[in-house]
Amino acid sequence: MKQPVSREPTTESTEGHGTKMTRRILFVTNHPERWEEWISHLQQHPEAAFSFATTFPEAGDRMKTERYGIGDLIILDETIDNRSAIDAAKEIILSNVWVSLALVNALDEDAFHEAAEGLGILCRIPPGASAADADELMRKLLTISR
Amino acid sequence: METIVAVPSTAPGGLDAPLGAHFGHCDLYTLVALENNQIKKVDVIPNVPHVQGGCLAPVQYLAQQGAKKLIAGGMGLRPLMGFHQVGIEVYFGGNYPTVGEAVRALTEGKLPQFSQEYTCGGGAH
Repeated sequence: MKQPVSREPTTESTEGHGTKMTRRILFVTNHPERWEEWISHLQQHPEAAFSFATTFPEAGDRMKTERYGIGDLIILDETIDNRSAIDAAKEIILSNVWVSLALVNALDEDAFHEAAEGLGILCRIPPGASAADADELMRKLLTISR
Repeated sequence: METIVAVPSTAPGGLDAPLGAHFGHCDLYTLVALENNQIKKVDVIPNVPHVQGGCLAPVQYLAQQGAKKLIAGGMGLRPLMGFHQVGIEVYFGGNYPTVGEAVRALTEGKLPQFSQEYTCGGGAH
């Protein structure tokens, strides 16, 4: 399976006449193979520097050593190492308040908003997410970290 | 030494205004400058636009305004941790009906620190 990895910090680069800010996106999932197609949509966005972490401890180590922060995004799969994405999000916020979070979750929007209230989640990603969901995620990430 | 206390408020703000129920979605902020526990100045400033996932924008905004303490009736885990990160002490004032009474309680040492048990989230709010 292709697992593109970017360990470069969030950077600013020039392409043509414009300036693009790269956003590091770390997808934490025990099952990266299930997301390969969706990630291919995400990677069509030139600002997305994508990589996987396949365990929660690996994600924690990566965030610390690679200094994830403002402008970076952590995507949490619905269940990671036997903890829910919402519980994982709370753990991350206690150690890194600046990084943005998106959660895979099957709840509808209202129920998700209630369940994740106060955690400042950028957006919910439905299981079986589409290309449109990838586009919407990038739009929100670029809006919030402009 | 002057200490600026920020209080999420209901319009029109000021000492007689009710506290805003939730800091990030309040109408505006009342900034109360304290010196030797006496109120020296009261300002009212607007809230900032709050997009989904943008809980930290008000945190950074109030830090830029020089706030060192904040009194809130409701807040989520992320902004609470954000305030800790930028060095703003957060107190729970949800039991006080107005900004002025909450600030007075702060000066009298009656307000508890806003700990995680007060945060909204997970359907608890």
